[in-house]
Amino acid sequence: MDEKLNVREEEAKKIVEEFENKKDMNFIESLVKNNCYEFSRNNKLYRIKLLLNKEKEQLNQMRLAKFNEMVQKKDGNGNFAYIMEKELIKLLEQRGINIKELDDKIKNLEAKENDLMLQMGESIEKKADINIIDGYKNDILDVQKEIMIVKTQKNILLESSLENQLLGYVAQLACTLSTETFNEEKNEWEKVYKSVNEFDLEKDEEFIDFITRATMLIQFI
Amino acid sequence: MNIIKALHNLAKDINTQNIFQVSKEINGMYLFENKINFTKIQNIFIELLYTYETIRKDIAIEKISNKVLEDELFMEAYLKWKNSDKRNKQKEEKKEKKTGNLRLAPTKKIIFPSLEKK
Repeated sequence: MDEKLNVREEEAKKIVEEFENKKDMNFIESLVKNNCYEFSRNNKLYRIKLLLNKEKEQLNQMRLAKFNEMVQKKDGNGNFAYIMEKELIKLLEQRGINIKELDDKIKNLEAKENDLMLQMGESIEKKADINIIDGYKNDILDVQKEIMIVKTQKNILLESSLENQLLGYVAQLACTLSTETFNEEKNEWEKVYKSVNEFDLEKDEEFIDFITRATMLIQFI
Repeated sequence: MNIIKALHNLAKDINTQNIFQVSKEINGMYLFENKINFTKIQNIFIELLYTYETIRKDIAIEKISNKVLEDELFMEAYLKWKNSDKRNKQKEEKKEKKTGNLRLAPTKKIIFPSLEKK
């Protein structure tokens, strides 16, 4: 009985997985079809669009203004509120964490990955045994995992830098500028959020997650 | 979901490849609804369409097996190797070896017709 239940559970999981994959594929297909993505939610039509040149210029201006603001901002003790990446690297060095070492590690691993890829490519062309090709594949996947771990380590260590904090702001800005809703009365598209602050105040987290994901895919990927 | 993997799946799909071929041949048929201002995702997709076209051609002439289509890592590795300096060097060396063995045999003198109008 238990076995039967397990099999059914497995089957149900597979169906849900397939359905999710299909849903994701439809989403990707829609993103490929056009440079803007339309969807409806609570009887309202929305779109996430690729920024126009004018809007890109606006984004850049606002990014620079934010940078200038952040670089000058001081905390209650009169110290700079944000730390530049270069300074943070030096500070980490004093604590015995060497970012350059991580960079070198990444470089070496990438070179190793490249060599393995070439060897695998050569064996594919020479129609080598599939076990040999699969062996290369597993080695490459291991190296790729290692690269990912080191890159994540580096990103976590440098997360608090001014440059990285600015990236977060740029993402919010891009969402604000690219999310529009259709105004039926005026028969035109208009911005959902008038400013980043307004975007920040949005309470519908599911909606925020979705538009952030779609914006990143359309603007930057 | 891995976006790049999804793009690979979409680009290697035989229907997508057929549409891509037709759009190249028929004037006025477009792959995307927007004709300008392509997004990065669209640019990557176009690149992948050309890549899979190359792969399918190589499979058709039996240069490689269709196993390459099963995994994007196989495809990536094969293309990396195909465009590598090492492979090109190997090819050139092979060519040189072949031409090195060529022996000229004395034949009759061939007189080509003149291109100038008399």
